[in-house]
Amino acid sequence: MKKVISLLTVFLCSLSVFAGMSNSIEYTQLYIVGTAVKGGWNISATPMSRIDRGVFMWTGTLKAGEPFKFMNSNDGWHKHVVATTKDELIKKGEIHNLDFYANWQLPDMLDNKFMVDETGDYVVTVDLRSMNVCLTEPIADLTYPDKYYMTGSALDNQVIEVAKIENFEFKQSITCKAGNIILMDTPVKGDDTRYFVPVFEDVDLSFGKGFMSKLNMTTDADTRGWSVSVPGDYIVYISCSEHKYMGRKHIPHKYLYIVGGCCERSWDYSDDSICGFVPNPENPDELIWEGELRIGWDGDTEPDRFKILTEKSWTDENYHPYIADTLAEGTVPIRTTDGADSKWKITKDGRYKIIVNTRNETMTTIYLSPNNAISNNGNGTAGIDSADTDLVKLSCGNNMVEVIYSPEPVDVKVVNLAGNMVSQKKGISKGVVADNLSSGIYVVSVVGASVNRIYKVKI
Amino acid sequence: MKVKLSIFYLLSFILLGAITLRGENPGNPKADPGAVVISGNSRFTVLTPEMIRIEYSDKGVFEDRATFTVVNRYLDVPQYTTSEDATFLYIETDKLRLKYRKGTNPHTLPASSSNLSITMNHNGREVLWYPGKPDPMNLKGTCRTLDGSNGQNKRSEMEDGLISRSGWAVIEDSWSSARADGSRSFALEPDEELGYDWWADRKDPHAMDVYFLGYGNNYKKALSDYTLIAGKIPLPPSYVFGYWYSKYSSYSADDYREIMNSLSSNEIPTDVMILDMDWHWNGNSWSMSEGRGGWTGWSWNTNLIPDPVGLLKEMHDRNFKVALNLHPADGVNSVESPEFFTAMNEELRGKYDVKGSAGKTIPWYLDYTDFTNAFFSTIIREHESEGVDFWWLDWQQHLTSPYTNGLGQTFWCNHVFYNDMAVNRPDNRAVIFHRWGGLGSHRYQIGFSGDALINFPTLAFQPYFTATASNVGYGYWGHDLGGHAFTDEKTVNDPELVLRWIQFGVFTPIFRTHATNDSRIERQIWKFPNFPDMLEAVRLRYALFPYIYTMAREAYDTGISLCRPLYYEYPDKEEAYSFEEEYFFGNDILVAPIVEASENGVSTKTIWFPEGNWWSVATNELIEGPCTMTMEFSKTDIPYFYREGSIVPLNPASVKNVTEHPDHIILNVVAGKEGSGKLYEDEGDNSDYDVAFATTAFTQSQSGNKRTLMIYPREGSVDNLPAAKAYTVNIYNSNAPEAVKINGVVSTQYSYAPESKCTTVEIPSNSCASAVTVEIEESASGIAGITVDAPKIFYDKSSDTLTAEFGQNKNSVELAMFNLAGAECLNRKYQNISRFSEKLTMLPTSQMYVCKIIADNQVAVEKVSK
Repeated sequence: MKKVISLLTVFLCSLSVFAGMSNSIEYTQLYIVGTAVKGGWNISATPMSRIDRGVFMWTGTLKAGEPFKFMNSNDGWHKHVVATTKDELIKKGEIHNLDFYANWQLPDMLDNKFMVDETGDYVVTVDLRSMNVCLTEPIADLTYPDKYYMTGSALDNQVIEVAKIENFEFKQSITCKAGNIILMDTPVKGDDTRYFVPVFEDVDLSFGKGFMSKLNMTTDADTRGWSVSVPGDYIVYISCSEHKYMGRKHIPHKYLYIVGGCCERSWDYSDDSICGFVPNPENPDELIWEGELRIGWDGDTEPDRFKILTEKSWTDENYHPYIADTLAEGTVPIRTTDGADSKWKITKDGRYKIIVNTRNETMTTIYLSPNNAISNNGNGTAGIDSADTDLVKLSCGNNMVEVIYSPEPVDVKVVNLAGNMVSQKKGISKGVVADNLSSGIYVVSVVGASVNRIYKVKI
Repeated sequence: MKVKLSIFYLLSFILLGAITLRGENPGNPKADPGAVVISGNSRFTVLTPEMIRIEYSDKGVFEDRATFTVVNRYLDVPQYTTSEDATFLYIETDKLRLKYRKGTNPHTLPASSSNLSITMNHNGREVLWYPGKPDPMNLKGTCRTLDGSNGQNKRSEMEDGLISRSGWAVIEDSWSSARADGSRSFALEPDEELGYDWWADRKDPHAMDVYFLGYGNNYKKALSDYTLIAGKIPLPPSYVFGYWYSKYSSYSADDYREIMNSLSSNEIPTDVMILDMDWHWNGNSWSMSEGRGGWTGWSWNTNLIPDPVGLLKEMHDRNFKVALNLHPADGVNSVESPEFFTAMNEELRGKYDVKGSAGKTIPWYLDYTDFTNAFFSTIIREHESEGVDFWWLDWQQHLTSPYTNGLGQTFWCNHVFYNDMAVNRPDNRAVIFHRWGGLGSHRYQIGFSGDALINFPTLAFQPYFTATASNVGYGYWGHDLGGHAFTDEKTVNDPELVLRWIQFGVFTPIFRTHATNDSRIERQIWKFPNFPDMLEAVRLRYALFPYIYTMAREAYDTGISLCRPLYYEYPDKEEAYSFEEEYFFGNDILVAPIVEASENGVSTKTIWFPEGNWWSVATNELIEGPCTMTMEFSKTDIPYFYREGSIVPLNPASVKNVTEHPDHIILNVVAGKEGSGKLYEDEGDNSDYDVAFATTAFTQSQSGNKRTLMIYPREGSVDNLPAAKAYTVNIYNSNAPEAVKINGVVSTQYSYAPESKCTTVEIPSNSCASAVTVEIEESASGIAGITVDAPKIFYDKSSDTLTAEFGQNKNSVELAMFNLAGAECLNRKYQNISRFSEKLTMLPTSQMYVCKIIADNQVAVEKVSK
C-alpha cells in the first residue's frame, strides 16, 4: 500500500509541479490548418511529418486564395504558428518568417494566415528552430528498388547488398571507417545507377531515429550520401512501405529483460534474477536468458506471449517480432524500428534458452526440456542439466563453480550479471574455476575442441 | 576591498571600452570591425580560427548588443582571408572555409549546402556543415532538471552541447530559435538604476544568429573559447564546496538546533544549512500554518521558527552559511505576507493587477524593473539583513513568462537573482542555487538538479550527467545525494545506496544530501548503521577541498569545469566515450564511482584506464594504462585514481569548515614521472577574486634514486592567509627513503609505509614567501635492505607469488588469506623461517584479498589484488 501511495504521491507531485508549463513552443508536433487544406480547421486532421528536431514537412494540395496556418499542439487553439503579415501570399521557393504565440484568445491582428495564389500540390516545410516556412514543388513519385547496395569510403568501397526482411524492411549491420556511405540500386556504379540519398545531404549515418526521413533519389554519382564521423559498427534500416531511412551506431547492450504473460513474474520487470538476460562472455553482441516459460503463469493477460525490453521502462525501445504472435523457435529477426506492441508466442511450457544478438537483431530460442523452474537441488547443479549432454559435468554449489569432468581440455569462464568476468581457467578437464562466489546468477561458458556451451547457473 | 573593486571596474571600462555595470563579469558585445565581413543582408564575424558568427536579416539589421548566450564578441581578430567571385563569397581561416552564395538567405528549407557551407578537416577527412544540418553525434550538454529522474530516463532530455564527434557544433542564438524550455535568447541592455543588464527585444526577431564552432576534437579549446564569448564560469564562494545539511521537513527552530548539535557531536564537518520551503507559511496543518500561505511564501512561519534572526545567528555562530528555498511563481500575497504585500503595493503605487482570490496578490512580474526593484528592496534585502546568505530558487511552474513572449523564467530568475547579489552585496561573492535555463546559464552558478528517485539505476546516471554538463560550462550541479523520493520500500533507506551516493558526491562539485518531505526517508547520516563509512566520505571531501577549490579556480580561468568527460583528454579513444560512468575530477583524479549494489559486500567494477599510469588509492597499486581492468571494492572503497606525477593538495583532518585557512597542508604525490601541482587560495567569499588571490606551485622530479620536491614561494597576496605553513608530503609509488634533506638540511622526520609504497615527509612550518626544497634519496633496490619493524610483504603478479620477509628468524609464522567477504581462502603455517614464498594459484584471479601474517608477536596486514 505504501508503495502505491508513494507512486501516487510522485505522480501527483509531478502533475502539480508541471501543470501550467505550456507556454512553450514544442518541437515534436505541428499541424497545418485552414480552408486551404482538405482537413480544414480540424486541428489534428492534417499533421505534418517530423523530419528533424523542430522541422516538419507535409505534401498535399493547397487551395488558392484560402488561408492556412499551423498549430503547435492538437489539444486546443492555444499554440499558433502564423505568418507575420495578414493574408501573406507565399510562392514556391520563397522562405517566409513565422511567429509563434501561446494564446488561447489570439487577437485577429496577430492571427495572420498564409495563402497561395495557385491551387496545386506543394511540399510545405516548416522549421520551428529558425521560424521559417517554404513551399516547394513535390518530387515526382519514385519507384524504389527491390534491392539496395551500399558502398563508399566508409566501407573501403566494397559493395554490400542490404539484407531484406520479407516486405517489412531492409536491414544491414556494417562496420565502418570514417568516410561516407552511398546507397544505390545496382551492385556496380553505372550510367543507369540511381543513388538514394537522405533528406539532409551528408548527414551522419546514425541519423534518423524518430524522424520521417524518406529517401530521395539522384543520378549524381558524386553524391556524398551519408557521412560516418565515428568508426564502428552501425545498423541501417530502410522501410519497405514508407521508404524511410534510419541508422544507429551499435553499442552492445548490457541489459535486456523478458516480460510477458508466460513469464514467472508476468509483466513485472523488477527482478533481474528472473527476467534479466546475462551477457554472453564469448560474444559481446549476445545476451542470454534461460528459465521457465509457462502459458498463463500469472493471470490471463496475453498468457502465452512475451517481448523483450531494453530498459526497465515501457517507453524505451523494445524487441518484438515483425509479425504478431510469431512462434518463439529457432532463429528469428527482431524488430526495433516501430512502436508496434507485437509479441512472440510459445505453445508449450518448459525450460527455454533465448539468445539475443543485438548487432544482428536476431533471437534464437532453444527449448531445453519440460522441466520446471530452476531449483537448487542441493548439489549445486541447478540450471545446468543440459551440460550432461556434452558429457561435461559442472558442480555449482557451496559458492563455487567446479568442473567435475570434461572429456577434453576446456576453457571455462564465470561471468556475473553485470558482465564482469569473475574467474577463468584455461585448458582444464576438472577443477575449481571460481569459489567464494556471492549468491546470484552467473554465466559459465565452457569451450573446448568439440564443446561450446554456455550455462546460466544459480549460486 | 571597495577601493580594489573600483579600480577593477575602472580598468575593465578602460580596457574593454564598454559600459560596465556592477553585475556579472563584463564584456564588450561589439566585435572588432576587423573581424566583420558584410555581404548584403548577411554578416559574418570571424571570432577565432574555429568560430564564425553568421547573421542574416532580411531587413539588414544586425545585433551588436549582448544576448542571453553571448556577452562578449570583442576578441583578438584571427588571421583570415576573404575572396569572392560572381556567385560566392569565401572566408577562410586556418581551420575553416566558408562559402556563401551572395544575396541569399544562408538557411534553405529543407536544409542544404546550396547557399552557405563551411568545410573543415576532421580526423583526416573533409567535413561539411550547412545551416540546419542535423548532428546525431553531438556529445550533449545538460537539461533543466533531474526532477523525475529514474534510471536513464533523463538522457533524452539532454540538450545539445558545444562539442560533437562530428567535429562541429552550433550555438543557435537567433531569437526565433527556442531553447529546450521554449524560451528565447533576448538582447541585454545596461540598466543604470538596477546596476546590471536587463532584457530587451532583439532588433530583428526573425534574424538568423548562429555561431559555428569547428573545433574538431579539440574539445577543451572549444569550451574555453566559448567562455571568451559567453562569459566566464564564476568561482562560487568557498563555503559551497563543504557539506550541506538539507532535507525537506517541517523543522522547527528546536529541530534545527538538534540537527546542529548532532552534526557537532558526531563530528560531521558541515558548512551550509538549508531551510526548505517550510521556513515560510505554506498553508499546511503539519507545519502549523493552516490557512496562511502556500507553495510560494516570503514570511517566516513563526509558529515553527519564532525567532528567525536568533536562529540564523546561532547558525552563523556555528559556522553555517544559510540558504532559504523560494518558489516565487505565485507572487506576493496579502494573507501570507501582509507587511511585504502592503510595502510593495505602495512602492508600486498599485500599478500591477492585484488579484482578489485568497487575499490579494501581486503577481510575479520579474519581467519588469519596477517590480524587481520593489521586490528586492522590500523582501530580499530584509531577509538578507536577517542573515540569509544566499537563495535556493526552485522555479517549477510555467517555463516561459505569461507576459513576455519567450522570456524564460529559469534563465531570467538566474540572471536577476545572481546580478542582484553581485550589485547589492559587493562584499560577498555572488551565488545562487537554481537550475539550468539554457546556454549562458553557466554565468549564474550553482545548480541543483532536483527530484531524482531513490534507486541505484538513477545514481548510475549521475556521473555521466554531471560530467556531460561541462560540455556547456554548467559545471556546478549539486544533486540530492541519496535521492529525493522513493517508489520502492526496499531502497528507501538502503544504507549502501546512500553511502554510494555520498561517496559519488565527494567527487562532484556540490556535496549536499537531501530528500523530500517524507518522514520515511532518513537523511540524518548519523542515524545510519554505516555512519562511520559515510563520515569517512565526508572527511575525504574536506580533505580534498584545497584541490577542489584550485580546480574550481581553473574552471574560472579556462572554462573547463571540475567534472570532465574522459574524451576531453582522450578524444581518439572509443573507451573515453563508452565508459560513461568514469570521469576526471579536475586535472589529476580519475573517478569511477560505484553505482551498483554489491554482492555480499563486494562491488565489482570494470574500469578503463587511459594511457599513463594511475595510482589506485583504494588498492594501493599503480595501474598501467591503457587497459581495462575488472576490480573489486569493499563498501568503504571509492575507486579513484591519481595520475602518475600528480601533486594533490589536501586539508589536514583538523579542518571542520572549508572556509578555514589551515597552516598545515598535505601533499599527496604520485611518484614515477615528473609532475606539478598548484594550490589556489583566496579570501573565500570576496567578489574581487579575479585579482585578489594567491597561488603556490609544486613540482616533483627524479634523477636516479634522488627525488626532488619543490614548494615554490606563494605568489599573490590575500589578507587572511597564514604567513607560514607546514606540509606533510605523502609520496606514493616510491621506494623506501635512505635520507631526506629539507632545504639542504638533513631531516629525520620521515617514514615509509611499505603496504602503500608511501614515503611521508614532515616539513616544519616555513614562510610561504620562501621556497622549500625536499630531496629524498631512495633505496635503489626498492624496500629490500630497509630495516623496518613490520614484516615486508610482496606480491608478484607475474608469478602469482606472495613473499614475506621478516629481517630476522621467526619461530612461528601463520599466513591467512581472506576474500573481501571475509571468508578465509588460504591458511599456511611455517616454523623457524626468516622469509617465505607462497604460490597463490589456487585462489581465483581478478579478486582482492586481505593477507594477514602473524610472525611471533608481529602482525602485518596487506591487500593483494590478483
